[in-house]
Amino acid sequence: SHHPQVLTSTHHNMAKSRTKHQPSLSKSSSHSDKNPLITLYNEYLSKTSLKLKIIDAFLVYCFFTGIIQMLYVTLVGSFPKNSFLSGFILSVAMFVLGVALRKQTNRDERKDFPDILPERAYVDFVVAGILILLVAVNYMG
Amino acid sequence: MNKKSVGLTILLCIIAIIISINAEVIKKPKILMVVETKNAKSSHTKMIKQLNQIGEVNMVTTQEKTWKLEEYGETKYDTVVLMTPTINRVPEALKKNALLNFFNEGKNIIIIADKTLPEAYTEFLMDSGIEFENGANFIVDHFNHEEEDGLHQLITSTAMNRDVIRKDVGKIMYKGVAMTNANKSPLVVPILTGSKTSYVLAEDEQEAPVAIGEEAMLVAGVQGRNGARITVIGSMDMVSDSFYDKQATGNNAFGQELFLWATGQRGILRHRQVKHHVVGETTEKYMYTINENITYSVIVEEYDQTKGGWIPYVANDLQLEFIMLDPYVRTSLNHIDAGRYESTFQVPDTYGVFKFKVDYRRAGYSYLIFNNKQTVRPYRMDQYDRFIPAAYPYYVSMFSAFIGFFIFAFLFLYTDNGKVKLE
Repeated sequence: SHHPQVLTSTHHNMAKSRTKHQPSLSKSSSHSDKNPLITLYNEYLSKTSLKLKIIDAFLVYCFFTGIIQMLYVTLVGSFPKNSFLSGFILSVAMFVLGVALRKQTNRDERKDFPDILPERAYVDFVVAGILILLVAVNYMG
Repeated sequence: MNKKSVGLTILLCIIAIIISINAEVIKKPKILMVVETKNAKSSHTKMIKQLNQIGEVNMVTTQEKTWKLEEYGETKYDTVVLMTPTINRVPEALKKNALLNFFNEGKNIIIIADKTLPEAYTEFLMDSGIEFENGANFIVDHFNHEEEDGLHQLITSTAMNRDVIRKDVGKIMYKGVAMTNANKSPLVVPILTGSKTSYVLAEDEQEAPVAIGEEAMLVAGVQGRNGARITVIGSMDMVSDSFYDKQATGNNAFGQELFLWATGQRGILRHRQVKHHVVGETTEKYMYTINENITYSVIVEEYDQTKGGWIPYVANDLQLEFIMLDPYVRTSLNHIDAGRYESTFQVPDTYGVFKFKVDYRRAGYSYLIFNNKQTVRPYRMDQYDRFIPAAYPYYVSMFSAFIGFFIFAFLFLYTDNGKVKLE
């Protein structure tokens, strides 16, 4: 029972001396009793750039708009069905466009889209957004 | 002077033509009466006089071969009275098919029976719904009879159809065979039936009686769908002079009322001036929109010779249907004045081709069935609700998406990683 502990601790020390993320590992090991959600939240706030945070805020906004409409439908029913579909699909489509913009402008993921500049992604987002708004206004009735 | 008189005569001619076009000509009907021998003239003079008051009577016998019901495809008479109960073979002109054609042309038939009727007549009546059994037992009533013999076959009855016999005539004396509505035909109108205590025994007195009480028809009528009528008087004695003259019976007055109905001179209904429009407007539209309020009006008249022709018909049970395969609306037609009926209702929420249908059938009157086609269209694109309150959340979400989209697009463009650039 002694030996495994010694072995792991030496392995751990060796690992510590080799890796660059030594300080963060030690931090996480010392705070291992904290809630992973809170850790996620803190890391998110510190790690993500302002641009991405703005996109995420927009996504959350669209998401809640959609949720509220679904709640309304389950309570009251989908009487002017065209209005319901128009409003709900508008929220979903905005959300999807926001996600697409995030993927295409995020520095870490940009290598998935080698030939799309972030400016091009933005223009795509704006044009598609205007189109979907036009469609929604017409279908709303 | 000459010119003046010529002009005056021309003017008078024009006035006469105009009057004659506008006036409704009331013609007296032509009645053909067929008897076996000329003796009928002496035993039924009062009845013949009543018929003469109603129309022009032409009396022929079955031996003569010169007369016909129709000639060159047109019927020559409006009513035929057949008082030939005992002949064996009817003449060509009165075979079953001839009678049927005469009836189908809209003309009336009156058959006066005795203990028997020729087979052609009974077959014709069987097809029309009246069963007359040759050689059947006479109707018997032990409670309402005149004292003549112990058989109680000379009965009296007061059970009659008051839409046919409009006067209160008292009790009617009768002796003879009774008829039954064997197939429960809805076209048969019982005009005079036996009272509740009367009955007709079957041939074999062990079996159940043929008819009891008001099932036994003494004078039966058939109202055809084309307006023609068949009347069967089951006993020649009932309309003979001896019975007409009897005190305290109403046979005379009964005959008067009966022959008016039987010759089609009373109780014929017609309609005119069907009008309908949106409530508040006056013109008829080719198409009505769903959920509109409309008014329908029609004039219904009844023909009554004693009152001078077509008079307004007043009743409180006329109904109007607005029907397209199913009656979406069924309302009552209210009598406004002088035979004009009106009804206001809302066009249903379904579009299509409807019809205004009036289907009025009452015993003693001819059938009043007519319809007018009407198209109903859905809303125009600008007749729908503009802002539906139930959809407000969706309108709000749409406007919020607008605002959010624009704010986001602006912000995203003008931020840098670190701070917002405002230049």
